[in-house]
Amino acid sequence: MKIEMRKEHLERCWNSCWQRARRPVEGVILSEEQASIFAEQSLRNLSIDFDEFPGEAEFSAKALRETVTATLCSIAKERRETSNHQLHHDPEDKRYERNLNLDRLQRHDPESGFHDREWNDLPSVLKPLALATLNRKGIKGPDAEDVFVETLAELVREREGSSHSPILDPTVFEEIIPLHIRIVGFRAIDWFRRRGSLKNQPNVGSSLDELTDNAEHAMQFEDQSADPAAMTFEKIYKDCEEALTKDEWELIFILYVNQTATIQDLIVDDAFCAEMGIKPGVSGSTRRRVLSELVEQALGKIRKNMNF
Amino acid sequence: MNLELPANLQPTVAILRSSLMRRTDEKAPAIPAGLFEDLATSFEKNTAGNTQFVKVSLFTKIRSFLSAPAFGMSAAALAILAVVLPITLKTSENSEISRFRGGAADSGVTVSSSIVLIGASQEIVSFLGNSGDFEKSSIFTTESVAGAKVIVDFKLATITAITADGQSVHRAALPSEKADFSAAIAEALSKL
Repeated sequence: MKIEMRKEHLERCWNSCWQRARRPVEGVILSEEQASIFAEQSLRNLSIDFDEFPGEAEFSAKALRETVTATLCSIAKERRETSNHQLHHDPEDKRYERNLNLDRLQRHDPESGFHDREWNDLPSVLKPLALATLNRKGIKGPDAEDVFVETLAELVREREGSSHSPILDPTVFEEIIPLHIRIVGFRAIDWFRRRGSLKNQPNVGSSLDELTDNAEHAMQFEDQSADPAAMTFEKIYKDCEEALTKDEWELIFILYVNQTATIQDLIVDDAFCAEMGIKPGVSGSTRRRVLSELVEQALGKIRKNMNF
Repeated sequence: MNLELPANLQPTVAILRSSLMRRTDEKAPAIPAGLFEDLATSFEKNTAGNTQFVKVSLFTKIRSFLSAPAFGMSAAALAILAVVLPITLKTSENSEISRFRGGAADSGVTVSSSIVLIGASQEIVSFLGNSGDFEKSSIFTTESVAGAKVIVDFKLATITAITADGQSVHRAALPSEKADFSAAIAEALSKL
């Protein structure tokens, strides 16, 4: 069934795309004018990839992803060309003193590996944040220092089967912070396991390698606040896209992501119920039951894929 | 009334609820003028462009072709169409894509260098910014722009291309006609 794009669809999508362009990752900020330019270009570019409007959930998820990618790539290019690595860094971000040169950190020599002198400055940027996280988890003193050294090695260790190191993932320097904190979380679990203290805790995957070695695999987060950027709708959609049907995505998007309608609104919406395969004329309670089952099913799929 | 969901799904709902808008203290400006109309037209056009093909057997095609009057003329016309049609279709498809990709904010020339306008009136700045030939974000009115740049000096009536390391690699007179500005700037950009 063809879905028509309405102005309110685009308004909502525009608002979220603009916000992503303004702050694509924590610690990066663009001017309002630049955010508008990136958001507009991303929406225009994305629209030519579709023969027809794909529905609000899919269009929003892909528009957000396009916006973030385009914005980060442009920032990286600008920083490279001007050699100003503080460009577009949020002045209110006081987590560390200054950005390092990401290109140099990512410079790889087939024989000597990642050996640029810029690496000398990386520990001082990452250490306070890592130790704070480790302390919160109960790992302190020399133990925390040991885990921290392990996490630095983890940044350059090639992932199994991909010959791609995690340090090569970021487009801008600010992305290293959540990436490293995620690694710190995994290594902390590893440390507890080695100590034999971690038994049947929540948020523990079937294998640690499964959590850390596969970039595409849904990962578990011991501490959500450690990586808020990872929980964006575009990431959830990307990781679960195939698991849910188009209808399930629309339902979840309307109820929980965009929050533009309540379940009661949907129950009385004949056209929407028809789209969800509910026959006309059925009672309100039946509609509620069917929609409720669909919602639970869709949420269950997301939970299973994302492990939360 | 909300749905009564099992407790194990509540964290999923909580994450979804905060997954779209991460800040509530910043409000996006209004949608750019024409964006909705352009996107709606694009979707409409793409849908309308889908041709419905009717399956016709090869035998039927040959029979109708041979039974047509002026068979020789038809054959000649078909031969011409076979050559001209793919060319025409290809041209119109390409022009459509290049027209829409990036829309109003897109540019005919993608520049990684900056364009610095010195002594330009607001009218000229707007004219170049809205010409569609350059990205608006690459046009500046102050000279203190780092990196490779093309300086258009309206006081001296010159166009100068300067590389990132400060070398002047091109210098030309500014055209007298406003309509020729874009071509002259593009030529300077090509020297960088």
